[in-house]
Amino acid sequence: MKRTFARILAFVVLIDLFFFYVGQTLTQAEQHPPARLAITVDTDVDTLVVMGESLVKNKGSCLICHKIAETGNERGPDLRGIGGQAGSRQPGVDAETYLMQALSQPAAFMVEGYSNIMPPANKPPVDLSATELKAVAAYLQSLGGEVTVKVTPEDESAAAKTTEQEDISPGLTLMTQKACTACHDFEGDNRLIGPPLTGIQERMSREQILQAIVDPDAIVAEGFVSNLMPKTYATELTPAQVKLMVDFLAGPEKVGWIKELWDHPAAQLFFLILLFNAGMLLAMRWTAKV
Amino acid sequence: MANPSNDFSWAAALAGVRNGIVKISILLVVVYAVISLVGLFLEPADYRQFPLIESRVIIWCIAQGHLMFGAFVLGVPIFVLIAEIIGVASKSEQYDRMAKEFTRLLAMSYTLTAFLGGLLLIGLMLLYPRFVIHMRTVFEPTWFWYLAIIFMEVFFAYLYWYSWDLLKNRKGLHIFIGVMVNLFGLAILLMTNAWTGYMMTPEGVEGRDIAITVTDRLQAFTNYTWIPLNIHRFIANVCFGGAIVGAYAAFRFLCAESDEERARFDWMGYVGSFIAVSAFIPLPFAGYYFGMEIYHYSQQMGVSMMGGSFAQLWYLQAILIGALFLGINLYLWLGMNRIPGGERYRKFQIAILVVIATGFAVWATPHSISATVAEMRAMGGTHHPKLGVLGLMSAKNTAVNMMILATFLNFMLYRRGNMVATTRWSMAGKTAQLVGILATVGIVVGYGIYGYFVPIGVSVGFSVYMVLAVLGCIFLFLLIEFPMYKGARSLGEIQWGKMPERSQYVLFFLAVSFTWLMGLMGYIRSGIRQYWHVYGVMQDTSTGAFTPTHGFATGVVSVIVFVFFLLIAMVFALAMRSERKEQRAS
Repeated sequence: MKRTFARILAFVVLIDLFFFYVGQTLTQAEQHPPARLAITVDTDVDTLVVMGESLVKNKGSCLICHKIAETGNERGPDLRGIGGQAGSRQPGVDAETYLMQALSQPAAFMVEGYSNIMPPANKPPVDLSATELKAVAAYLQSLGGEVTVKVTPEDESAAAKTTEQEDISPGLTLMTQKACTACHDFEGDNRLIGPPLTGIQERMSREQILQAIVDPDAIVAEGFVSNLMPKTYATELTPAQVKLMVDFLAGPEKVGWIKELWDHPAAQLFFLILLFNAGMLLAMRWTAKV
Repeated sequence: MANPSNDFSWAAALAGVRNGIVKISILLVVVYAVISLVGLFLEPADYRQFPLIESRVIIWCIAQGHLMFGAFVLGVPIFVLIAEIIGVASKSEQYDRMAKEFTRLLAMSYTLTAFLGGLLLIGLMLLYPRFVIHMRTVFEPTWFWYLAIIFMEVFFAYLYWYSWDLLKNRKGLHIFIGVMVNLFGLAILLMTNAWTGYMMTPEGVEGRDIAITVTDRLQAFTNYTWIPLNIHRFIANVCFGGAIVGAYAAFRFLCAESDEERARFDWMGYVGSFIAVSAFIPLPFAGYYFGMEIYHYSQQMGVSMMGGSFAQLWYLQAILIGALFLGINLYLWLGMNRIPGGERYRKFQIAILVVIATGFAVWATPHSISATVAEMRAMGGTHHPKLGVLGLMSAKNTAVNMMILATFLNFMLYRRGNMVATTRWSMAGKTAQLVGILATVGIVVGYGIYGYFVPIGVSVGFSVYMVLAVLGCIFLFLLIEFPMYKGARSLGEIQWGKMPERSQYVLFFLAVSFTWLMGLMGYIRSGIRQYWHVYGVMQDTSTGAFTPTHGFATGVVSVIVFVFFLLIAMVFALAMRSERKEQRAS
């Protein structure tokens, strides 16, 4: 039996090694995640174009669908000469605006004969920053056109914000997305269109905060007018989203000690172990009696 | 796990089940204690480095090992239950004995699956804590239910095994327990696939990294690739389970000490390979559906998978699948030698071999070739001037459909081996079957050629017609075949056990190739997320966040497969020992 076992093992190793060998004959290259490029207002046009080219070929993975040479992919429009064509694709839209729109809102204008398969380049997974978008647009303009794209201080600060936003609490992220910050001050006492929300948990209960979100005119803060805040959040937001907002404004919900205990993974694990082991003991006692 | 037949009492059976429950309880407590205690001594971090081996590689190996054993313990009970039902319906003790023999393999495998699952949990919690925070935010409410389902699965699986002899006169109840094993097994599959699918095609969340809002937990659970992943893994589990039990039967055949034992394990090996092949035939279609959904979710991810950095791994996949088709057909041809009358169909072997070998060659032909500058100059580009056209999807779809059709026909010839149809309409039936096959070949090849004359977007859609034609042909063929051969005249009994030893090595070849295929496809599926833990939502910022070389990746797969076979050898040895002990006891 030992000989049979050794023969089988040798056979298994042989097949395993054969497939391993085939793997070694393939093209060998590592692919590293792209780094965020340091593009500033001081970056000159030529460097911007070079950086844009690198983004198109690497981080942007644009050539998976587009081509910039005779051979290449044709899932998306041919990019040869795009710099010259961009200004005339959409009436009244200049080349730079068209290219920036094509990158961040590709569905806004579709070139005839192509379907809407491109993800916005400023959103994950491509996730180009505002300055990187400008670099790509500059490179595209350089393909048969004159480069007019320039990086502005606003682009720079937007790019810096993108890298910072990952550690913001989910509640605040959501409130920023819903533009709550446009009317309410979250960090100081400034009276904007709506009352400041700094320290709101000391002035209002969870229930009142919840009511203020879903039915804003039920109680209007002194010195502010009603009918300004949208009343659509009750339907527009999911209960989970509303809870996140309330948690952010009022602090985490206080729960009873039973719920708090139950929420601990150890308690749930202990419960299951107890339930099944005790169940088995009871079943065994019962069968012993029967 | 002790043998169920030593003591025919409920007390003994429940003691066996209790041991299973105690075992999983201890494992969970140990896992929890290790995570909590080790966590106390570690500085807070987003990622931690595993000594000597990269964290990513260690997690990869454990996860894939867990997945392989998981696939085995979820796949085998499906056909064990079917075999038991066939045994009851046909009053055949042979099927019942085989079902029990297969179940014997599960005992140790459950322990190994749970052990590897525990290791995976410890590894993720300690090495990738930030990622765990993200997953906890989205899926924590499901974890309690997952553990509860694991307990239920252990309870029913152990009860199924320990009550086998106890309930031999109450088969209905035993089958009910088997159904419960499979239902809870399915629930485990659905739950884990939700997590895996979410990592590939996240939905129901807003925000990024750990600053996310779960807007719809159900949507996150039933994400874009959940259904195709469930279908693909369900079929693949059955296929994999069949291949591994086939290998077990081959192992027992080669170790057999009597003709009777050889006959028993020859039959069992045949059934195992039959299960693997039956599940293997629809698997490419399920894979195609899965791939299509990936494309629908993200063209970029889909293109990375098929045309980007992972494209070359599909050549290896083509070689694996081609080798599997060749292995399956070789096993059937060798098996025909033990069937009186099988020699009548030997003349078709060359034609089938030509179809399989040609299909294999076409499937393995790359579109773009990695070549030296001189070679590229000689070819006039990265595409071979003549063979390059065979690298397109049209040719590949034609090849795989033809290989499936040829293998199906070979199996039908094998099945007919010792039978002579006696129905009056058998000639008409066979003519209808031939017409059906020729029509299908016409459709498949016709669309394959037509695909070159239309835009790629249109030709991709042709694959649906090809698949439907092949499936339709198989269905109609069987619809005629079963009544046509009902009450057929037998040319003699199949000489079970009269198989050359090399046929058993073919079964091992199939098992290793299936395992390799699973390891490779698991890597591709996971790898196409590239530097994202959760695609587009949570980026992997660890030092291991890069796509390794194909050589390295296939090296890891190779090690995983080797370790898996070492562990499964242990399972085989324990199962053999358990059976011999049972025989001595009875």
